[in-house]
Amino acid sequence: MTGYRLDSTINMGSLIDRRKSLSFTFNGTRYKGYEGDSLASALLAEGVMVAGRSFKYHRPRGVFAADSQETNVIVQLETGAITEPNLKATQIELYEGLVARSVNCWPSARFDLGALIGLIKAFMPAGFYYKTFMWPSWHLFESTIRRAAGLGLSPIQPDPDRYMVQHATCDLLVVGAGPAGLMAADQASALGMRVILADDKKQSGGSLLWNGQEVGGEKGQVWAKNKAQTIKKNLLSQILNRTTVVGYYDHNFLLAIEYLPNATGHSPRQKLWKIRAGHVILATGSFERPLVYAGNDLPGTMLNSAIIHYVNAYGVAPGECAVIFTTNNTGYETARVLTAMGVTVRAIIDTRAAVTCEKQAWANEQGIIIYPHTVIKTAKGGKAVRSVQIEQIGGGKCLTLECDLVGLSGGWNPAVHLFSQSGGKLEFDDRLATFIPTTSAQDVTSVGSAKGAFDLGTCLLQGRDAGLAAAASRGFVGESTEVPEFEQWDKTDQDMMWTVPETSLSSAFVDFQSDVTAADIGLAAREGFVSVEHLKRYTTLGMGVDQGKSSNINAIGIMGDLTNRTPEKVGTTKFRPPFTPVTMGAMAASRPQGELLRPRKYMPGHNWHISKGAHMLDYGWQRPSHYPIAGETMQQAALREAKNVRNAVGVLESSPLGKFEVMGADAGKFLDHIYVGTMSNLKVGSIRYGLMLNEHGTIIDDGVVAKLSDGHFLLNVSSGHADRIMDWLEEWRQCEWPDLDVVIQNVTHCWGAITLAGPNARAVLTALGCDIPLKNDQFPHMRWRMGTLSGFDVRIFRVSFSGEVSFEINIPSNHTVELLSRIEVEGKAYGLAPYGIEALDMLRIEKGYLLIGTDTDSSTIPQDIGFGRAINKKASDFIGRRSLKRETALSDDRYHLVGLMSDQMMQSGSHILDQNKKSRGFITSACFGAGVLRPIALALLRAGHDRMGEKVTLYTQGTESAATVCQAVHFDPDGEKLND
Amino acid sequence: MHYIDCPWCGLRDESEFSYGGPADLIRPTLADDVSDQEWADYLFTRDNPCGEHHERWVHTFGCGQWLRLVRDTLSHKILRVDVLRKKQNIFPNITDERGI
Repeated sequence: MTGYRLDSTINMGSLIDRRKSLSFTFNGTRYKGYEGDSLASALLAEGVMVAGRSFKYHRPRGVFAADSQETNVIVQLETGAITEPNLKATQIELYEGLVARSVNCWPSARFDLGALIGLIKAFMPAGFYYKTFMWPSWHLFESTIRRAAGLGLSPIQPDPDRYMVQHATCDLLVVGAGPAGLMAADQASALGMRVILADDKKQSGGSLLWNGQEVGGEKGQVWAKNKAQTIKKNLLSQILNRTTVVGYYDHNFLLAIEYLPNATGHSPRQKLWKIRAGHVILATGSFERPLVYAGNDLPGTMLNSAIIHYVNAYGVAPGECAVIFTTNNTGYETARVLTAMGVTVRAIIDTRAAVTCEKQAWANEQGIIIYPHTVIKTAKGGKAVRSVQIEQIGGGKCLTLECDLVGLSGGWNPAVHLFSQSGGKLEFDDRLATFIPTTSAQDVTSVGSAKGAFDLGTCLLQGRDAGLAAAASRGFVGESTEVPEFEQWDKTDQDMMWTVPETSLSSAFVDFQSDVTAADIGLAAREGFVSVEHLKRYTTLGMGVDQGKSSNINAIGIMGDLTNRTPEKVGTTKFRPPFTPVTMGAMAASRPQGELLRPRKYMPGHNWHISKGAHMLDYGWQRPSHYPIAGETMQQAALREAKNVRNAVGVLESSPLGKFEVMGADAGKFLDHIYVGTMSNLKVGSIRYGLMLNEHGTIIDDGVVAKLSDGHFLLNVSSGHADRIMDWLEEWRQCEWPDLDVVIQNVTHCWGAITLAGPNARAVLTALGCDIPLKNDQFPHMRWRMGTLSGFDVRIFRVSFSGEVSFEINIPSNHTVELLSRIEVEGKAYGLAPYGIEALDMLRIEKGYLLIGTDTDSSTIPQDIGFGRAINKKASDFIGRRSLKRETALSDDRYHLVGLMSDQMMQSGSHILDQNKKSRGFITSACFGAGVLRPIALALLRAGHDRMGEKVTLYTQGTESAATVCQAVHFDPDGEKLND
Repeated sequence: MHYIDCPWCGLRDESEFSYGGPADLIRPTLADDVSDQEWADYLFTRDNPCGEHHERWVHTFGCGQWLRLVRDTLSHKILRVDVLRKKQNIFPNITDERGI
């Protein structure tokens, strides 16, 4: 038979509300459940025994646990864009209209074609793939195997749900709101600490919610509720329910995921908590361990704690006729709970030779047969367990018992995951047959069953005392809270049994989800994979969605037995975050997304450009690429704009150009260190070009330096590099030359910059009304002047990135738009038109002005772009100087910056071939020259400076073409136009 | 994530800072006299101590100041944070193997 919902007169179920019925769909069939049900409890109540299939052999599986340790019923929740794969049915709260499917089966969990694999199971032991699919090549089999591998499906559409991140700090973070956690949080909060108590359930109470124990003379659930309310009343403290702490990182930084089940519209579905805690108390509880015997994976087999959980919390009897198999006292409590609900308990199979507990007497009274020193050797059944064969340890009587429910308890494992993540050490405890936390690496305390205290009294006491100690260590002192009276339920009398003796190991499952059997572990041991990390990777043990919460300790014990080592010697695999799987969306919540992924930077004149028909693109800043007129392509528009600069005058907003003021008595000396060129002897009013190198000699930026006054310089650096160069300058100033009297200020955003370039530029300035003498002999190239332009205070720099006479006007940024408008009006008579970045690029390529990072790469040094002489001239040290003297730096065969001419358009990225068709260089920038009116390019070519006039072959995307090497400066090589 | 006690700003998350390598590198000056090997050591050769490590960090999303940390590479404990003062032994209690 199957599971069913208990009559409400016998058991209401402490977590469900029988007045609110919910309907849901599982594997295409509609079922009903109650508010408060988990998907797993509702399925059990509806008698769904086969609720999932295992990963490798597709064996039928049923609900096994009641919490995050569930290993069998892994589902795909919902469909379409909001679908979520690989959730544990035990952790899904039922809601109206829920739709879920089992993963890893087709067409259904009950009739799964993949189960045919199970027929050849004997031929597919651990390591089967590694050994079999090697010849002739893994890649031949890869695609087929990849398709069979993996569990659920990722959604294909973008996730429409919203997530949020919240930062929090607290004096104390308590993880787990069971008896120990509640006591700790209550105590600390009563002493004035800021406490966060996080628990993955929707209600506080932990095991008290389902194990039926009484605390302080009332039902455990009621006691927990009152305790939680006391904590909540303290304004400094908060309780986060439905919140799983998933990661424990350095310096008491923890990540938690809060599930917000009632998310609608724009409200977030999950919240990622980033918590910095002064102290952490881990009251994370413990997981029950299954027992390993043949057929232990048949549906109808469950953990004893899960049986108690389903009966008490959900009012569900998981079967009608049970056999309880236990190594400790948990089995007796299970029998008691089941009997009270009218479920037949056929027998208690206890591995211990001498059973001494008060429950034994009770069982005898009830007429339940106890088989001491006995094991289940084999369970039999098809899609559910039908009978078990029991046998006395050491041989003896065999007996077959019919049943539809087998309860297992192999002992308890403290949930040490977070403790281990924090760097804490674990130790194997022989009495408890499990690993328990010992030395902490951070400010963290484990309490309760997470520390191996499996009786309620110790849990309550440890929780209270840990709260007191945490408070005292941070200076919070006061009265201690009272530990309530409790009902004792001792789970510590414990037998250690990793596999049932003489069972058939090849169907005795250790990791249910990944189908790892005791025989697979034996194979790994024989083949030398005895390290626990190797064992994990060879057999895939513990690599499923549950991350070995049920299987790891058994596997370690089995491996220890096989290799004559204690479990302590075998050790555990590394516990890594997250404790339970986390949705990508939640992890991404702390990162800006969409439009906010990278903030857009806007120039002061942004809207003016748009009003002029500019096409805006992102060049690090939003800038006009071109200003198309009547259906022009970008190339057509850019060529027109560039020609207009060459022939009349163009206006360009260059506000993004990096502008740094460097001030102080030692400013010149500092800049001499920074630049290849010497800046300290610059005269006020003058401007000098300079290269910046890193210590490897690589050019990292170029730009001009203007001397504003004594000890006061203005640096112009590339727009795209500005932030990085600012950091660079600060690093050298603070770390290498802190004794220099110099300060650096980034004033990029304070100034708007407008460039007027072209033969008519001077005339436009004059028309605007400028009190600075503009004639070439009064204001020559590479000088700057201060004055007024059209009534605005400005600095004008005569620098050029186009090869034309060019004035770069710096104006307080709030006046930029007004000046642009006036320039447009006054410039009309002189043929003025705006030009965009594409035209600027054409102009600068033609003039041989390089863009660092485009025409140079991470190996380009000053010699390569014709600055060898500047280096030799300079006597003082500068960053990167020594690297320029390395043997490779002095080689003749370096990549030099050259120009290329051709009849055809060239493309950047094209290779320059030698006679043997080997690449000797590549084109870095190419365009049609608006001044020279033919295709031109800049290139990095090996020994290029010695190859002027040579004909070369270009190669791009399968085609070859011819070009001629020339100087990088195609236009106005003597600077006649520039110095006009 | 580390929690760094910036002398200017107080305790802040590591994500506000950037790492800047070892704190005790001595840059060879007037570099012409420096051999290739010495220069390469300065550029590339780094200690990888198990235990105390003197290192530079900058409070990028804060005061922008460079700091000098002593961090235990084994426990990730930060033993000391100070304002960076190059070429002065600001840790008189900690002997540096370079003898600075």
